[in-house]
Amino acid sequence: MKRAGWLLIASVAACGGAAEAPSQTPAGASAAPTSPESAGQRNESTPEAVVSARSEVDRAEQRISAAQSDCAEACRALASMERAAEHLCALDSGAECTHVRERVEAARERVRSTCGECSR
Amino acid sequence: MGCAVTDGRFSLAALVLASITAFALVLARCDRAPEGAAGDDAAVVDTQLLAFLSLARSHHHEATILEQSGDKRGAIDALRKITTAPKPHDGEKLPEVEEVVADAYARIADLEVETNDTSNARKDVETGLRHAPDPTYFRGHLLEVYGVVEQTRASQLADAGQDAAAAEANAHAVTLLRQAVDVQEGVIGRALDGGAK
Repeated sequence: MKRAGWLLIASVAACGGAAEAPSQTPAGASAAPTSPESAGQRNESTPEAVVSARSEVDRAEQRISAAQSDCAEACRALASMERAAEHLCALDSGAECTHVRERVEAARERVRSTCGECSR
Repeated sequence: MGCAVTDGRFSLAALVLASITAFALVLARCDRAPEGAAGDDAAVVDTQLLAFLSLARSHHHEATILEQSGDKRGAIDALRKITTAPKPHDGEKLPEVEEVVADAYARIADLEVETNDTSNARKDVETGLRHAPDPTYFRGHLLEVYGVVEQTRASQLADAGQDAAAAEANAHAVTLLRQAVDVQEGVIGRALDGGAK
């Protein structure tokens, strides 16, 4: 039964890591040590540390993923902004063009400082 | 004795049975609807949405291949399959679906401009804007494309000697392109501030 318990734990871990949103993983992981098969049959401190570390990794992964998604959104918006400004300046090369170019440059700098260079 | 052997076999059988049961339970857990989904109906909706998104991706790939081979009309037809496809959860406006449809209209209008079909490009970009009423990237992109459509139309009108109409289309193009810049600037601000899109 001990082996069955570990199989359950391993399977829960695999399921939580691959198929679910990161926020759901800690719940799945914390459920494992309370299963009757595993409780009291192994050192409690190690799994808790592992669960805690996994939760931290999951949270960090979630933050990185959100940041990547925000940067992707910012980059494609910047590309569209640049194209729009280019066309606008082709139609009106006066003060409006100058102002729009300044705004594009400011946006480009802002995206670069947060996300690095956007891939083209 | 015999009993001990039987017990050993029983233990082994129980272990195998328990393992299979545990694994089956976990698989069932993996396969169920996402957390927060309201039972079977929600799972069906998710499947429909995923199917629609996959269909849209396929038609975009198809359009890219046709466009690269010079068949812009074929590419437009491929993209029309996205806008005319049955939508998941009919009657409800799912944001993901609306974005995909808006994006398809933007690409269709872009291709139509390239074939100098500004009349249909205008219609398509205006239809696309109805699918993107909020100041998102998709609306900004549609406004950008609309500006280019009007710029091209102005050029066509000028070539036809219709100067007044050309000036009007030019002014409209400038307005639209300015709006596109405004929207995308806002999108960048919200994305990098971590706020709502």
